[in-house]
Amino acid sequence: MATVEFEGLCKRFGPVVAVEDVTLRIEDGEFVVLVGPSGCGKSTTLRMLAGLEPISSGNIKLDGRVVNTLAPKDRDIAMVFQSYALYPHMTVYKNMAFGLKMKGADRATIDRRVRDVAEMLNISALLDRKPRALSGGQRQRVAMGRALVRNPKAFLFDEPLSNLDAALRAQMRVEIKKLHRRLGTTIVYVTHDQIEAMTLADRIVLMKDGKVEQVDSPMAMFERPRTKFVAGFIGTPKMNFLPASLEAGGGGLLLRLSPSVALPIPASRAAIYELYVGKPVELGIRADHLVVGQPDDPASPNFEVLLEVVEPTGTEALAFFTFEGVELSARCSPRDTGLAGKSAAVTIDLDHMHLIDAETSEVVAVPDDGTAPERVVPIEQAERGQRAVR
Amino acid sequence: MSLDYRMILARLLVYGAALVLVTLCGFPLVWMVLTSIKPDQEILSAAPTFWTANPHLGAFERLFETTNFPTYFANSLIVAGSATVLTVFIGALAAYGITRFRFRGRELVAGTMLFTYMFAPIMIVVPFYIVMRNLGLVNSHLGLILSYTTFSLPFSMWLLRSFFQSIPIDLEEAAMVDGASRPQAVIRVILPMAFPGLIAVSIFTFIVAWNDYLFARVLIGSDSLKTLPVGIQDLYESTVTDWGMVMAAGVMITLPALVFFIAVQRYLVAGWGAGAVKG
Repeated sequence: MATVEFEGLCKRFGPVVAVEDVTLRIEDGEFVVLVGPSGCGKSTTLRMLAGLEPISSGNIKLDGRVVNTLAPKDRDIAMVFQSYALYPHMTVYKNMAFGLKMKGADRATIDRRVRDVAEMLNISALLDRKPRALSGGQRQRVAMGRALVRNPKAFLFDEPLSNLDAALRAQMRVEIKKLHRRLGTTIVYVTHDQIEAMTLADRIVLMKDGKVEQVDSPMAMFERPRTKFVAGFIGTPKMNFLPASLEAGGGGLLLRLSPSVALPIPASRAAIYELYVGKPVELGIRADHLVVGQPDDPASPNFEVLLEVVEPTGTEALAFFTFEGVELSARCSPRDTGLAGKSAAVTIDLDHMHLIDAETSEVVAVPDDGTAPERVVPIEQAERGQRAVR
Repeated sequence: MSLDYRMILARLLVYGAALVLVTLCGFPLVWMVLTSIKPDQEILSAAPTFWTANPHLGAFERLFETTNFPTYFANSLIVAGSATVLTVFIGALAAYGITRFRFRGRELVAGTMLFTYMFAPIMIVVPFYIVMRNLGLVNSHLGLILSYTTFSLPFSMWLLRSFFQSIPIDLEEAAMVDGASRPQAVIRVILPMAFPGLIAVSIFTFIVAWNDYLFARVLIGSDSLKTLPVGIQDLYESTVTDWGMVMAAGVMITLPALVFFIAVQRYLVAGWGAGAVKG
């Protein structure tokens, strides 16, 4: 159990800056996910925390103690690698016992710990096998088991699920979450998959080009992204972006999307967006708030488009169309698959819009005044979120 | 039907070719063994006999009683054994360093080592002699051990390098995060995985050192320090060559190499494969 702190952490490989000025405090027992596109420095950050990569400048603290130059073996952390990194010449039992053996634990303790953890992970039957005789999912469990056996201060996960198929990945996600709840150990988890980040994290650290772009709880990041990059990275399907402009009209503010389409901005937002009249802006809107079909309230803003493709996903369907040369996606009923190739009305819910300053790529902040989307945070996640914010 | 016929034909061809190859390689060895147990009259008779009716071990007795063969044998074991241990040790360290650490000139070092392997031994035996003389190592086993190590190292290092490269770095890192120091990680995780490579390198070095004539001839003067190839060559120097004894010596030279090879060849086969194909 430990807190983890980064202070102005930097990593340079020659002239290349891999990680730049990362400052972050991870609370004891918190589940933090570092997420970002490949090459954003998330793995390097994790490796620096593990002690596998020397740091260029800044500080790393474990439980308040600076560990910048401490050897990995002396940091008392456990890591699960993307490749699992199981020792091929050892049985599962020996793989799991390795860390304790290195620590000099006695035989009886090792045996008890290994068998307990194997029980917990449902791999007791595999203890005498060699890694090559295991399936991908089993290897993944053994790799986690090897980390758990040691009861370390913190667990580091480096894309642990990316080699699994989709079904297994979803299952392991749930198991990792359960394990965390049960053990309460600090976890730092690296992934490029935003769904993993959303589902697992107490807090997400979204990185881009070696820098931290935003640190927030999953729902906060989903609902109130600070930049266009965050808005586009988090959430499936990807948020729609559309160049637009603001103009005064109709007794309020209008969002002009094309020469023929201008939509009234809700009054609660108009006051804040006013500053951007005449400036280059972009509209960011999720497919959830762009719905195919006539609105119930005829006054709701809508416009006609030609639907190109409709993809049913079961409970819902996604419609794709081109508007003003930009590919957009909208939600529609799964019964509307026949609309492909036809024109239809699309209703837009501007209460959930994001206005992006095209010059800075930042999302214009809107105070949480009740018009913002409802917060659907599971209770336990909300509790953790509060603890994490502190 | 015709498919079966063709398959049988292909089989026959393969086995035929294998038989020719084995005969070419094996016949001299068989002849050597047979000659070593023949009476002298049969060895020198104008009409050669294949099997002898009166096998006896007189040649071996003469070899052990009238020559310094046991001394040569011990010398060869010491020199070849030491060179093997030294080569494997240094080769493994070098290969590990070259695959795991980034340093200036890394590729140059690796390339240069391979380049040195291109020289024929005969080209450098004289310079080598001069170096050894200046170091005071002429006419010593140490000098000979160092020579064989020098010769085997480049190839050994290259072979081990490809082995170490095929071992994912994650494994070592996992061991280090798991509480092992770097040396511990190497000993417990890397070396066991590189075992076939280490075996391949030992066989190679042992055979180079065991069979070498040139360097032993040039660097060693005193009879008590001679290794087998040189010692046996000197058996020819007597006015009448005792062919039975020479063949007996040949058998005795071949045996240790053969035993060593058979003992470890299954690792060697695994080794070549693992070194060649990554992952």
